[in-house]
Amino acid sequence: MVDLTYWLALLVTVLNYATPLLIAAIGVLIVEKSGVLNLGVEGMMIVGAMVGYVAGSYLDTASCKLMGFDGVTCLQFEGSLTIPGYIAAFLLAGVAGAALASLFALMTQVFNANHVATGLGLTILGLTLTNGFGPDAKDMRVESVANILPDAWVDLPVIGRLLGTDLLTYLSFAAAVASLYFLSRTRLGMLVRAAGENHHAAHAIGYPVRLIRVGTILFGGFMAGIAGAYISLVQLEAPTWREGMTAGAGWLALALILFSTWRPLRVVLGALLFGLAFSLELRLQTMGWMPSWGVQFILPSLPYLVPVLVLVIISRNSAMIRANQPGSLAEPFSPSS
Amino acid sequence: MIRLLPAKGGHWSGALLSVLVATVATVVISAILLAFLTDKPVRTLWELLTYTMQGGTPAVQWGKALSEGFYLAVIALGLSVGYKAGVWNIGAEGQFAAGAIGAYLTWLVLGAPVTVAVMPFLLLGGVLGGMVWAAIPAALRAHLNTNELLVSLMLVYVATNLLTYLVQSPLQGCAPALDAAGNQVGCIPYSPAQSEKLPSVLRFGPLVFGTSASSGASIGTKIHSGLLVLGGAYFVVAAILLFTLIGFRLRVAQSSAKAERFAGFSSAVTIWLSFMISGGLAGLTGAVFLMAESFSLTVGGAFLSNLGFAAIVIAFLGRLHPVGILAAAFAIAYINSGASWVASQPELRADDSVAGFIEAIALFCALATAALSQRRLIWKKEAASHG
Amino acid sequence: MKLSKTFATGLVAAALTAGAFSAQAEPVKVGFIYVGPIGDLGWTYRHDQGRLAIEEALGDGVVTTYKENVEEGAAAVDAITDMAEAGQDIIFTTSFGYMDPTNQVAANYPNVKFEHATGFKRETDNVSTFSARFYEGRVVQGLIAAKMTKTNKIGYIGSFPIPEVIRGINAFTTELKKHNPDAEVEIIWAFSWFDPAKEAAAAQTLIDNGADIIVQHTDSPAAMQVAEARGVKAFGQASDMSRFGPNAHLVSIVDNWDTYYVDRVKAVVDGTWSSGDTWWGLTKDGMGGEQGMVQLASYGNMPDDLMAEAKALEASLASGERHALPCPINNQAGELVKDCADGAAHLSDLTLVTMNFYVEGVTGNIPQ
Repeated sequence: MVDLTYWLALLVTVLNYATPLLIAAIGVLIVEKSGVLNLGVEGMMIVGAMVGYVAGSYLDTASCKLMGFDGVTCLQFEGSLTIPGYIAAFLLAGVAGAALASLFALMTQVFNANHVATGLGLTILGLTLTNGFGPDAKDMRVESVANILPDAWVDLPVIGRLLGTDLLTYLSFAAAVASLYFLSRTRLGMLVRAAGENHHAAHAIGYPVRLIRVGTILFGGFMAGIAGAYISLVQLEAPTWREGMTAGAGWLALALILFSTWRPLRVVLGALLFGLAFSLELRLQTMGWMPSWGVQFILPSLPYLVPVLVLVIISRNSAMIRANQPGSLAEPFSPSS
Repeated sequence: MIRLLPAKGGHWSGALLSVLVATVATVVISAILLAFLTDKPVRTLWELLTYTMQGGTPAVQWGKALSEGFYLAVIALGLSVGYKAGVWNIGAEGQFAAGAIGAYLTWLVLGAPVTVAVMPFLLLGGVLGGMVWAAIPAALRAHLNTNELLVSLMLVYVATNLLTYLVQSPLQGCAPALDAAGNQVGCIPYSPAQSEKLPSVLRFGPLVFGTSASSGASIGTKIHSGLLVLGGAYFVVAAILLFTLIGFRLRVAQSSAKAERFAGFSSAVTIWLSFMISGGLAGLTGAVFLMAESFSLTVGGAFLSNLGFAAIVIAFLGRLHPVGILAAAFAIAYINSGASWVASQPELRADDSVAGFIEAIALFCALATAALSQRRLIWKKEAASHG
Repeated sequence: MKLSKTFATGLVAAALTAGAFSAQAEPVKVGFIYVGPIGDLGWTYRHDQGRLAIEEALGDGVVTTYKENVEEGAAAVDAITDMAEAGQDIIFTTSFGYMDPTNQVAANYPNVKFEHATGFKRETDNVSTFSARFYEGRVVQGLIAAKMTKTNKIGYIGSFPIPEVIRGINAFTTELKKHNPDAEVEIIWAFSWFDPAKEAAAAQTLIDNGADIIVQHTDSPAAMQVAEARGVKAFGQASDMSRFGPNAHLVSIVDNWDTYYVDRVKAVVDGTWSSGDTWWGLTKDGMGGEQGMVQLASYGNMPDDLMAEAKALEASLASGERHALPCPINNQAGELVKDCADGAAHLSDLTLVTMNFYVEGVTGNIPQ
């Protein structure tokens, strides 16, 4: 039963589920490091998922028509997503996420509204925006997503599946390393941390606390949007849109940050662990030895039970949490007070 | 001229102003959005607001709005206790499900009796079910310092799966299949799965009946006797919060150690009380919903209709105050059932997510104007303002 | 010339329509309750095509409306009540789970007609039920799968373990084993009719486990798309899904409600509507008559001789020459099924309606 193909396939599935969690979580990490708690990740993700899907479906046909070709010629582009179209779809999804985040920025940085309430509101708004106003699948068709590696590599036996992993999976891991570098080695990263650690002190030194925070909030929205588009465009191999399809992934990204105690490389570890929880459900069902309560209750709940368990384990060590937790997290700040 | 002065701890005039500004802003923004989203915005808005006068049986429409208003208000009241203290229970949806499961299991444990006398025990089972589910995040937060917001939310997914598993396996009910002669020859499981229904004596029946204009038939509305239970629970809990010492302590309590001596009890007690009240009320609502509307447990997705999440919005819209919550709950419920009415009109066919949209807009308007309630509205002569 | 002819035809049609409905002052109002979005491109999409067929057939004589994504629980009672309150004359509730809600609301509105899809409860005489013999299509799929598989492993995505789905699994597997005794069927239960993410994940898992043909009894084209991406074959469900798998699609079982819907609404207009139960297969009468509720569409991606064989099998099922589940049929324990033991030529409708057992050849147990 030791079958290399099987285990590689499992690894690919784990990476596939881990990628959007990781992308969104890096955004959350930067936002929280600046002292802002935005619980609207799920809302920004679902909007990104919808926008990415719609953009992916229309972009290539639309740009073909813009270039002056007639509808018949452009039909060949229907259902295929070229690499420029792929990049554009993800960028648009990111912008959509950032647009929703700008509302959060307005509420918390200008009106000084409560972070938790506003974040919850943002999630509800995102789910509402896409619920019912979402696109009709019958008009949408995106059949293939861009693959950056040569086809010959991807067609290789066994290892090909791994090489065929989406470009964004590689990029998300690179982004985790980059965020570590950004926070610990760059001047901007230092500003972000200063704003999060003690906003009054940062303000007193003359750092533009609000400006920094607006910047991180928009970045967080951008990353959440991209993560959402990954779910609708890449994760299922078949680009698909369904209301509520992020199914709590945004909340898992928030849980990942608690799990990692605000350290970037631990975020990677957590994403892989959560990804494994997702991958196991159907695989264990097909093995057939599980009782029905296992198949119907425990397995579908794994992606939500695993985070709870790891949070319990992590949270017991409060010293470790305090060492990295931004001191001003979620506290309202107005320069005048 | 009118001036706004800071008022520590809030002032009624500021609160009134903030509600007024938020309401006007909500109406204006919603109307603009409706104009973009529907072909006939005026007609849609008109139907949305007057649907209780339209249709064949007005009482039926009132029933939908009122019953949903009660469900939302009771759950939101429970949540508001914790939110004031910084205890974030956002898993009322799961506690609602656990309440329904608790009520149903209580009935089975008692031997599935067919008598009215057992109804209080079912309700009690519902309260306990909600409390048990809420006890998980409460215990983890109070004793293991685990983030209660995420845990309570994750448990919504788990509760949904639990409900689904229960009705698909141990509690699965089936409908008798009859042959041509009317003899039962088999039993076809429901799909999506559901449990056997509660016997009719255990159900909350309609209190108000409407008369259909077209057929003259008498139609039971959703104004059912279970709403009396919920109304009573709301009244009692609200009275405790507003007029008793423990209520006062809860209102000033914080989950942080700093506020401990102020409230007079520890943060652990605050966390436990918040979760038990919110879980218990959500569980009670779940039990009433089971006994008045669904009669059987069904798979998670079909049983739950987002009441637990909508109640979070209601709690904030009502400014975490028992009176405000009641007003917000009925206003939103009225719009919700209006939107579902509009969605069935062939000429309008506006999607009923319009309601969710208005709800979100209202929430943001309410949050943006929240700062106003910390101010005092005064009338001053121009000259006096220099002094 | 051509233009004027079209114009004239239009006039005649308009005159006919006007004539047909002059007795009826008000157009008939028809409501639909959908379990998924119209854009599911499967189950709900086909019901909506039926709604459009009514509009086309009856023109100004009818006004239709619908509501999508209605959950099959207490929410359905509200949605159906709204339809009745808004004055619909006939309401189609298009999922099995609306059975009790439909009957509950029907009791309150005696002068509204209710048509419930795939159910069997008719508690008042204003409720009708109807369903399709989808399993006839499964037989043809079983033959094709038997001859197309190279790994001898077939992946089957089930929605819920209910008789309708189990019938399909039994019909498919019986035919599969007849032509290829070595082939195995692996079943994953999605526990949902429409959940593209779960359906896609199920297809991925089945392919990872070695399946090279995917059969689905769920409503979205996600599994077909995964099959296309992975280079394996798949069958479409509910709608023609060939465009989602240009290289993967073998044949789709397509639901066709158009005729039934038009018939029933016309019956309301005529005043001849009455409560009943309808169960059509490939043909209305099962004996080579008119087009029924089940169609096989877009055969492709298979050798010509196999396609011819499959089409011949379809024809014999349509003509009634061949039954989908002819005796002898054994259960999983290897004993003859009761109908067959009693000497019947094939399984009875009653056995099919209540089917809650796997036949010989299916491995595993029905989830309890």
